[in-house]
Amino acid sequence: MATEPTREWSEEQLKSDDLPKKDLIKFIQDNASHSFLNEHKLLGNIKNVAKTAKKDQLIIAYNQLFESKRFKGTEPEEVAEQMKAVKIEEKPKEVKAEVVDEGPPKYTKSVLKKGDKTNFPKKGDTVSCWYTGSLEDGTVFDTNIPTAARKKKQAKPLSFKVGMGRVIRGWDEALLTMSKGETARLEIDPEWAYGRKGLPESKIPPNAKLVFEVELVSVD
Amino acid sequence: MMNEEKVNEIIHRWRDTLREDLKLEDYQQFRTMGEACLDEGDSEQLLTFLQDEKNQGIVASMGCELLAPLVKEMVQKKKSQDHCQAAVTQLTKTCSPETLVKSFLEVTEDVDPGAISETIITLLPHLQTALLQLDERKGACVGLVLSAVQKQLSRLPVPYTQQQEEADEHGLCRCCSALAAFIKPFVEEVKKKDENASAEDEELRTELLKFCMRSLREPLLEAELNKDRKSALWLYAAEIMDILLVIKESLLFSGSLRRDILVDNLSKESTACWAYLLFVQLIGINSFPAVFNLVFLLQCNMDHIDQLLSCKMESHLLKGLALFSKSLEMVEDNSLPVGLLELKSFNNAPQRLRQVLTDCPIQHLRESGLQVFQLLINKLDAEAKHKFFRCMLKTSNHAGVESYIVKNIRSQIQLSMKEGNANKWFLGVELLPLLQLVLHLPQAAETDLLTNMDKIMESLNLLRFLLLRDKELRSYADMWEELSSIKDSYLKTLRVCLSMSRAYYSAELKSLKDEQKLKARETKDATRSIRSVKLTTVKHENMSDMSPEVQYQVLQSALVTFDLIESLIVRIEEITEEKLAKG
Repeated sequence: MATEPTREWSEEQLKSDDLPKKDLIKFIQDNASHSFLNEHKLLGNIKNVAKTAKKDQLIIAYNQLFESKRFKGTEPEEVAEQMKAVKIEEKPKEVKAEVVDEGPPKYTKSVLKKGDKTNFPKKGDTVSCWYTGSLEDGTVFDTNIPTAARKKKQAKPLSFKVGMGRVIRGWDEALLTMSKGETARLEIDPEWAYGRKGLPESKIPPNAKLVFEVELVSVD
Repeated sequence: MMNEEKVNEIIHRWRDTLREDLKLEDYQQFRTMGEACLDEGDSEQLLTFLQDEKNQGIVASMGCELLAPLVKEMVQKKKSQDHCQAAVTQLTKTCSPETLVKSFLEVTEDVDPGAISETIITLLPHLQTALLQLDERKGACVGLVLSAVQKQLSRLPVPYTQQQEEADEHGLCRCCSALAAFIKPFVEEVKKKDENASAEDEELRTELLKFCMRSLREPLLEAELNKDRKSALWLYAAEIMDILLVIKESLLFSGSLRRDILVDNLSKESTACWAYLLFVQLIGINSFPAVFNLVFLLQCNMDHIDQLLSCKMESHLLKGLALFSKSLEMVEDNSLPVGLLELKSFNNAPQRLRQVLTDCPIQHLRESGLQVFQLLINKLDAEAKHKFFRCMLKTSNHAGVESYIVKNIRSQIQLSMKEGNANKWFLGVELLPLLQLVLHLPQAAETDLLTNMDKIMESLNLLRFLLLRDKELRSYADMWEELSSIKDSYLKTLRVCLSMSRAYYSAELKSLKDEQKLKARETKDATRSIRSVKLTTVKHENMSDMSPEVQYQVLQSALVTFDLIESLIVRIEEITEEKLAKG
């Protein structure tokens, strides 16, 4: 675990006009966990954040960061936090069936290749992905990555609107936590995949946990 | 009839004439001479002429004039077949591809309706050769050819039984196979191109897409397809789906279908067929991404189902029902939320289904439809079921459908009464709006009890059930009071209706009996007299087509029905008394 970062500035220095917002934002972005940044609306390009955030708000965030100690790498369940953060913004659109939204997320994500950490898709954005899906035993049941390298030029990644229930829940939730260029390995419990029935025609048995390697190519 | 010398003279003149100097008369004469050759059975001579090196100039300029007569000859399957084939091959070698394609198109347009399949099967291989020789405008020409060929094919009847398909009397199946073979090299071309496709390549790709869309509609939508029996048309369907994959056109999101291909409602039928082939016949399912949410797929398919069920053809309805069934089977029971019912597609498709149940003359379709109907109900969650039932009771105007819904309502109430299943939508106050619709006579005391019998019987059964299980229901005090008042009002009206109906039918029965007596007497009188007597028959308004015996039976059974209804009402009143007495 990384050691806790030290306070760079005193209260006076913070309030002083000599300290530009950008520096403060950069510090927080460098040191705070993703979910912290999300909640305080400090994600994204520093210039843009500087336009929308007031100095006072930034000072408050800075102090809160040290109080809550929500630094990068201090949250092993970073994913769980991200899930909660996303739900705060979510307006329940449809009447949900029986599944309760609270509770631990039914998937795990391990990042294989980092993304740009800037362009995260929002609900309703169109995303494009290369993916390979396999069962727990390693059997590949689906992929959109063509085998010959030459063919990859003509193949198109899968495009769809994310966060709208068009894909299995594990995908919807996971993709919202990925940034452009990121490749991740997702292990999705059956409840957030194809559940009790599975998809016999696509070789997915009942109650199957699915493993996907997903590369988020673009976000629109 | 020209003599040989004259003919040779003309040929020599042509050999020395430049193409641009040839006149219309020359073309016509060439054609006439060729036709004469064929008519006289001299196809071999014609072939020799065409293959002669010295004549290649003539062939190149005017050869295409002979296409129509040659094809006509070939289609008749005379002994000249082989010569004619070779002749056409020679033309394809020598003439310019543009001229060839143009001539082939003309032949296709003018085809004799009785010879459509033979002509197309004969022409396609040669057309393919000609098109592959084109440098420019290949895509556009392929498009023209496909369009012309498909236009002719659509005139052929589509076989709809296994025997018909195997017999292939009109040759549609053979044509489809020939067409699939024809198109292969063009599909390969598209496959090979990389991202930097030229405008030409894009054009070819577009034409192939249009071809697929047309094929999906005709003949595939009308064909009877069965994945356990890979008939010629099933294989054709597989080819089409494969081509769509190669040209990378996913028909899943209707928004992605290019606007220029959209030919109003026609493309909706094509897309519906595509969905059927994919999800029901499982053609290409391996290439379909296994990441989509099944409720979302159901939503997408609802539009297609609506499209298919709106057509009165058996082939379309069968496919619509199958797609509906399959899509529903993919989702979990009790999972579809009420919000879905507010979507237009989720509103239309069930209504269409209901129409199949009430209006379709084909019995096996009504039966399948009923199964799909129940399946749909099973997949809705409690609130959605509640809304669906209300909607159906209000809109179906059909006693059969209504009675089916009432039966379902009873099952739901029964289920809710079980330990741990308590469901606010089928117990308690929410039940009242439903019951108001159930315990309702559409024309009050003037309701026709016979046409509404199914619903009335089920409603009374439900009422009896509710009264017997009053213990569970009384705990919802507000509900019980209101229910009792609804019940009383319903039964009162029903009793009035019953007595009115009884009175009317009894009167009818009596007058029928009187009539019969009168007729019997008249017949007896007539046999006594010599002159023939016209028997007067009093016409009943509704039953004029039926014989008196049948009329009698109908009236009798009506009265029996009323007795049945009454006995049920009496039983209900008995139960009410018993429960009251218990206190």
